[in-house]
Amino acid sequence: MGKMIQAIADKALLQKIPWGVQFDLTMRCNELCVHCYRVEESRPELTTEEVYAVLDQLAAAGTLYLTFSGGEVLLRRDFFAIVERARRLRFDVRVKTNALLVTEEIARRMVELGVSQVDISVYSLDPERHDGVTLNPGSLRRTLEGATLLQNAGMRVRLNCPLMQQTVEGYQALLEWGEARGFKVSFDPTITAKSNGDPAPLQLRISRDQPCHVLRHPYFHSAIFPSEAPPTPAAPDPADEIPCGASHSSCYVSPYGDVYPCVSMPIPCGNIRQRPFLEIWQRSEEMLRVRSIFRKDLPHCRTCAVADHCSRCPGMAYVEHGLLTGPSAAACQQACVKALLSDTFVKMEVHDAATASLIRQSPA
Amino acid sequence: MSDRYPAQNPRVAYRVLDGSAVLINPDDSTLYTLNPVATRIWELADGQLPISEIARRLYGEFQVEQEIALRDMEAFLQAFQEKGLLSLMDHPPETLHG
Repeated sequence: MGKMIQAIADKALLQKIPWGVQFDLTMRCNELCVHCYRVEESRPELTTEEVYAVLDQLAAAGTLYLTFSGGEVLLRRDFFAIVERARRLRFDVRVKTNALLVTEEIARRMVELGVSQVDISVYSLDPERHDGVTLNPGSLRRTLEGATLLQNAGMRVRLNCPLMQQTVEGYQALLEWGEARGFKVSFDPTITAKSNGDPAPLQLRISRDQPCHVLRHPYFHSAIFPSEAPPTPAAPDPADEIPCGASHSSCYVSPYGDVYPCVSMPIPCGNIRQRPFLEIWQRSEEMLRVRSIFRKDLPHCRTCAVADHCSRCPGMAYVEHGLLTGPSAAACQQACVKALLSDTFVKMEVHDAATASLIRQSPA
Repeated sequence: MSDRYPAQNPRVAYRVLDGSAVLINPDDSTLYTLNPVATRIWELADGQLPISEIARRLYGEFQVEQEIALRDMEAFLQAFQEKGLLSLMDHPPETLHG
């Protein structure tokens, strides 16, 4: 993250401005991805007018970065009306899609409306593997066609690949293929629980002996976590640092109007149909509870030997153990591997038994 | 620079954070942060006010000498026009369409 962007993010975080918001417009989808967090409910999704009202409220609250996701956003017939409204309200708009429905006309409209980036999920260049994740035969071919149409129209396109058991073997081929064609390519080992809190998708995370293999790749060792690290303000006491931006400068809004601190943190804080967004953001008991947690409140993590290498996700910790202040096994594992790969680790003395145990279990 | 009418490029995403505007040009994702005076110029660049009127308001709000305000503002507006963040129109939109 550039210094200027970091300074702005810090300012938003300290002032509790919801600077970045992910807004899922629908839970409907034309794929059935095995790892997906979405759970369709019987409640009606927000209408066009209700979405407009949310956008107005987010603009008034100071949100700049707005990511439309789902479900598949292009399944909403009012998608472009919503994007147009958001751009008129001067949001920086990003869109997450599987690109199955992208046509030349759709690509052109996205560019015309000033969408700043489209993120497309690609799981492998092997059709069998990719389609095995989406459970939609032929989806890899159509997704890559959609990505190319967007790129040809002048859109900045990023291919996102969640690193999980089904995708980890093919990441290098995808990286090389994407970069050779001018796409940004991003990998993320974070697999989120379902939106109702069901942790089933977590079973698909890469296994204990795979992170070494992955993180040894020069691309990941330097790039996979730093860019995703949550912004933290400069604090005189490191213990006062904030675990991540969730509830401080970012949040998630579901298609049903529920507001959460983060898409990875299934803690509903209120519904926009019942309370104004700003009231939920500023006064919700749940939001304030998440916001009140500092690094010093993390009993295990604050003394951990590999804390400097850790990108612990509070939402992940909550899903794994029901504790916002507890460690996250996935983060512990990744931190240990990163520590092992760092030059400084050999000089460290590990006092923490649990950490030492994890390190011993991770092949060097 | 004659007394033209600065107008924000409506494609530019922006918010004012702690008195400073944060701008993002969607065409190249470049990010800009403005100081409070530049932020005020940006906010007043609605296509309706001529440069002289904006300078007059800055003089009132920031106690900047009008001549200095005008000179600095012209440099700012020129630079932002070149970056595609705003345009300098000869007339406000009403005149153009009237």
